[in-house]
Amino acid sequence: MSTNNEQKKNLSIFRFTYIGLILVVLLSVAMVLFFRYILDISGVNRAEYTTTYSTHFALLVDGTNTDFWNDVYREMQAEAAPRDIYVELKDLSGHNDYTLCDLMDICIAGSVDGIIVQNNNEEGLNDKINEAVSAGIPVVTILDDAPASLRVSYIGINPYGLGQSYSQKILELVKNTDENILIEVLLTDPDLDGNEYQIFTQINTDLMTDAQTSGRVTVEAVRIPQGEAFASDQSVRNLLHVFGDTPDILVCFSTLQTEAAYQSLIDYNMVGQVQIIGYYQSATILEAIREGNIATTMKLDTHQMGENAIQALCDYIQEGRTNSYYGTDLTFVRGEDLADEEE
Amino acid sequence: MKKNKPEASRIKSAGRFWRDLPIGSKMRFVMLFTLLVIFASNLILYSQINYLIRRMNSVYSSNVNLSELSDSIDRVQEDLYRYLEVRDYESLSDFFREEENYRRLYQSLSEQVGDNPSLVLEKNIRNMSANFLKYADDAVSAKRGMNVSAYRENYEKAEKLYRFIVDDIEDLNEIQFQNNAANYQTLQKALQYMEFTSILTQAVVVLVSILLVIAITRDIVAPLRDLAHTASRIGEGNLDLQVAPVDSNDEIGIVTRTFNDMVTSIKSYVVQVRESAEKQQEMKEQELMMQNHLKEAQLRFLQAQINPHFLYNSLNAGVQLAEMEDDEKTAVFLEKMADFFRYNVRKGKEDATIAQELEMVDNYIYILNVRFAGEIYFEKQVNPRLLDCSVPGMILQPIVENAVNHGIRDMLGEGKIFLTIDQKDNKIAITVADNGKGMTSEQIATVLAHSKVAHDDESTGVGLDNVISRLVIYFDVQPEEMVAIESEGPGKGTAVTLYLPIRRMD
Repeated sequence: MSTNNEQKKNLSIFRFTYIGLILVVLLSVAMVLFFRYILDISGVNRAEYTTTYSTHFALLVDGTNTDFWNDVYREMQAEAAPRDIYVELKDLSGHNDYTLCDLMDICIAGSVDGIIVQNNNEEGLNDKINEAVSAGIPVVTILDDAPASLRVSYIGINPYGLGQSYSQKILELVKNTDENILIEVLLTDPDLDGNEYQIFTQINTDLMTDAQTSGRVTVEAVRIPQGEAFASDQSVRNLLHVFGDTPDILVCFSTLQTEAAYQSLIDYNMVGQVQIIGYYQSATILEAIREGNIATTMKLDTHQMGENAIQALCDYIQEGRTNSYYGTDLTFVRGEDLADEEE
Repeated sequence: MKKNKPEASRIKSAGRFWRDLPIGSKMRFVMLFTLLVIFASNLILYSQINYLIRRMNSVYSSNVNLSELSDSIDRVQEDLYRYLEVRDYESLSDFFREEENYRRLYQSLSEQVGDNPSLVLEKNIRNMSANFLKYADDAVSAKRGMNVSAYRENYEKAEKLYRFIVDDIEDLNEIQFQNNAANYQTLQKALQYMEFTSILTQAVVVLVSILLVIAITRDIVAPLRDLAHTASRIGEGNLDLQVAPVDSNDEIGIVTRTFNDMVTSIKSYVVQVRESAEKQQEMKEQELMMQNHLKEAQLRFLQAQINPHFLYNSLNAGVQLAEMEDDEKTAVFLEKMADFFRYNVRKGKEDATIAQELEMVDNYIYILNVRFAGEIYFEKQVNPRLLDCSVPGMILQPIVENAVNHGIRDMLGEGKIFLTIDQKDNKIAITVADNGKGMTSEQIATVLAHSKVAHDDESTGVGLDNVISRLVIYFDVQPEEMVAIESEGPGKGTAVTLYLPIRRMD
């Protein structure tokens, strides 16, 4: 009996020793794990968790329409990552006062594997595109083409087709009235060969020649000075409040401009009196469309753009050639469309 | 439950090993074990904290490296500019030296591109730096070759890249500084947490060690305490106690087992002494009882005869008187009477032979026959080889007297008494039979139960119960092994047989 007790005592001592040891070991392991966790969340070990890629593309844009380009960039990266490609976004909004040509120089000197650039018709950009292509770096233009350069492909819209789409949308807005209509097209691109001017020309031509609008619809272009602070907002305010006739329809070519115009309408209590055809989508624009304060907004298929840009560069790198033009679908978003989506 | 069996057997074998370990080794094990656990936990803590502190110290090292890189490219650019402007040997050697230094520095930057902005910047700086040095070298070569347009063109390219590189280094520095500042803060917090967890761990380790030491020392001391307690109680005389058996083979196990053996030896010695004392006591009691019975017999005899000495002296005087008067019959009678009483007095105290006892019976029968005018028929058959056998005195006459008084007295017709003495189964078989009134089985049982029987006034005083008692004491046997009473029933006589061991008279 007492031998049993002694054995039990011995067993309990050894169990106790084991449990104590296990406790100490568990505590030590927990401490080490906790320590690793702290290092992980602190970012000290971040390098270990960085995804690296074998190929490096650069997307160079002018810095306007940040929402739009961010969407394009996200789609592009989503398409590129599975192909082991990293896309670096560079724009002119940085603090260095770079031009697109500077960004091109940086990319050429940085030996990127491919460049996707938005042509802002900057002087010398064609030469830089040519220089890059000569250095073995394929260049794809996006949204605005540089047809005179050696770029390997263009991803975007056809200004002619886009102009016609705008015309159709405006016709829908004015067909139910016989009144004279003044349409102001706000141009951010000063270049007469640029897309915006071509779209304006196309709208003007279409509305002048259309039986429903001919003679009573006037289309005017207003240049918004670039590079000046708050120029967009001030130009719209002047247009609505200071100068002669108040426009019936405002056509905007940037998200920022659309938002500024909408805010001005609210400020001058002109909502409903002036129709806005917006550019791309932001939370403010979508909310305004939902409330019926902005008639419609033009939306490009960013997914298609991102996908096509990566596809074009990859095709060129792998096969030495690619399509010279990848079209992009566009839609005009209206309140009804948003309601349908929500349903 | 099944899963626990191997573990239980492992623990059992560990327990076995532990029980057999000498106390010194146990103590050394406890000390070493606790020290090792504390040392190991300290080691882990120290390595973790040390690693953390080293990481903290190195947090800003990347910024320091970038500053060095920035300073170096500044010097390369300055030396390049100065050489292109002055074209002296010193500037050129400075340029080459600084160029080598810068090349070494930028080559430590990452070549990889990844979703970490720092990594992309490093890769860009590295590649741009290579091109920058290439343009710088080309400019220097062109300058040495006096190719003015080429060195200007290359210098402009290098100068442009220099600007880009410096900007990128600044950007990278800023990003890394932000990251590092955040890292530093987090690491500081981590260090605080580590302090807390290390204190907690140390506390647990110390607690576990203390509990372990308590448990193991209790395990060692508890049997000693038991031993001391039991020894103290045994010292008070409680010999039935034993220390709980200890399974271990250490010093405590050996001491405990030896102690228990010692207690067992003491106990058995005490039992032996006690048994011997009891035996002595028993023998003393037997002797006393024997004396008591004899005294009782003698007392009864004296009560009956008042003074046998006086009586048989008187009877002897009577014998002489009868002889003087030639009355031979009276003389014989009186002589027999005198012999009877003399024998009673003498042999009541000592052993007698069968022959003496027979003589006593003959005298008694003669006296009775004189008294009752030859009414009693007495017949004896004696094995002559047994005549000198020793028996307690005064055993035969009382049985014959019993047969006379309780058997044939008051019976109609002739009373007969048969005495047979023979050897049977290596014993003396003495049978006194009568043809008297016999006994019931209850009466036989009562007599054999050693109960007192009422004595008649005429009795010589020594009853059958006295005879049986003396025989039991004398031969140390049970009455039923020695006395047999047989009777076929009332009126059919009684036979009393004594079976006595054969002892020759010395």
